[in-house]
Amino acid sequence: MILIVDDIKANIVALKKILELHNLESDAALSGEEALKKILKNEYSLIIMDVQMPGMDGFEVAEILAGSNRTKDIPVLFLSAINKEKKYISRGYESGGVDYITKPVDPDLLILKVKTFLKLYEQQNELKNIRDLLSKEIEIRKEAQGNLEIKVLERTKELVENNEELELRNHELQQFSWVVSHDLKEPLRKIEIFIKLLKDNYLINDPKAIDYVNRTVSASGRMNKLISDLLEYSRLSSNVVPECTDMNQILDEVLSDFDYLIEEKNAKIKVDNLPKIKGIPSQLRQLFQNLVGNSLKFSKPGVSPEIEIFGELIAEKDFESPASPIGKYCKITVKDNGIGFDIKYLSKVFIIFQSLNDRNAYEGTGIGLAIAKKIVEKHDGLITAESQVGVGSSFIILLPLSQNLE
Amino acid sequence: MTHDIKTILLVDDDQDDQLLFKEALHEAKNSVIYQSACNGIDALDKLNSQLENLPDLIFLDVNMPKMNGIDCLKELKKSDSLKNIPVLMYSTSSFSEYKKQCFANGALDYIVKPDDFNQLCLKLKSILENGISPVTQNSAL
Repeated sequence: MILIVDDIKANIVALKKILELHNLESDAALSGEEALKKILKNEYSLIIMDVQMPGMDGFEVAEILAGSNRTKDIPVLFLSAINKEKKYISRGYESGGVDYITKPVDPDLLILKVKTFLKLYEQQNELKNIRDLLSKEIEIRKEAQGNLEIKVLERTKELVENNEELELRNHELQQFSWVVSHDLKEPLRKIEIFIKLLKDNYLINDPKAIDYVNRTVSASGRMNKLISDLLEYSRLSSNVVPECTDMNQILDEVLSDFDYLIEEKNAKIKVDNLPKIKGIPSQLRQLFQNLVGNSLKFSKPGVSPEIEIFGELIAEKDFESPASPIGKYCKITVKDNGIGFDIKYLSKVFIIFQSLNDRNAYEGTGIGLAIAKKIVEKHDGLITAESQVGVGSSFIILLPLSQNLE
Repeated sequence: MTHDIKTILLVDDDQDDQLLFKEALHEAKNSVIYQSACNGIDALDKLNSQLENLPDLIFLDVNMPKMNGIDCLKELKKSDSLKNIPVLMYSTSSFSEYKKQCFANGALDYIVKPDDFNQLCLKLKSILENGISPVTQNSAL
């Protein structure tokens, strides 16, 4: 909508006609005061304004419009028949007009100008809208980011708290199992000592009583072993710094611990090509103690155990990964010719207290392989087994050569 | 330690261990006089009341109520009249942190309570016959 401001009605009518011919809607005001009132109420995209009017003249109206945020962008086109001198034209531009046209007016030129200013005004408005939208968007994003940051902070805090809580619980649990194991061992130690004293000093000639006592001693021995293993299992959770460990040396130590059993069972043991890895020596020793111990323990009756422990470097943390001399993982296999187990129990053998074997024939607490698995996992490795009943078992371990332990 | 051990004080809150120790001690050497106290405070009281007649050797348990073995050891070593009595730590726990502390505070050795009566007899017999030489910390840990 275009506003025409002129104190002479005939001028307004003429102008209105020209605009109408070009489908341009217009409104009219007969004085500066009326124009201001209308501008305050309605939205105009262009003002065509006479300069000389009684009361407030065109320049004054333009100046007022320029001083208000809402109206300062509306283009003002001055149209004058009388004030054609340069000083008026200058003043027209100074007061905020976009053009100053003098009469007589060529209607075609006027329409061209009007259309140009309308278009400019429209573009300006569009730009303004885009700018407004953008700044709104920026506001929204800023707020969202702020919210996000707050949320992230809150979440982080929650996580940290949860983590602390978990660590505390974990620590408490470790303490608990340590204390329980220790306190359980204490009375057991007494039972063992006193029952042995009783047997040695008082039951010399009573085979039945000796048998009962032997059973008691053996039961308390089993319980003692069970508690020791539990103690070991709970200790695995504590943090120790990894160090460079020669697996050959670890195996030497393990085998020398089994000296007696190896000799007794006439076992043949072959150790080949083990790497140095970064790990916790005491735990790695425990790992192979349990695996080699199992191979010795679960040997076929009347058959000498044959145990092979060999390693190779592989490229990936995958049991199928091919050998690679520059691989970052090592695969260590402990292979025996023992009684083996049905491979369908594979998932069970590593779970605590899942002893597959007949207790009377084979001693085992059902913790050894659970400990082995926990140690391997603590070293960021993998463990699995292959086995065939009556043929033997292979326990296969993958360990990274160097690592950052938790 | 070369002089004869005539009297041994056992500081232990566990009645069973006291009984076993006493019997093993007499099995090892009948003439040795056995004394006992049931915690650190009790031990210090007993020792301070018999300054003229101190034991030749103290077996000191680590985990005890009221005053534990490590604190008792520190008190013993602070006292001019008691600091020269050799002290052997005697505990079920083989926790290396305990051992370190005991050696740092002047214990001569750290003996883990045996699981077997005969072992205890043999250990005591060996101490009574050969004496004890201070163990270097590293080999004991």
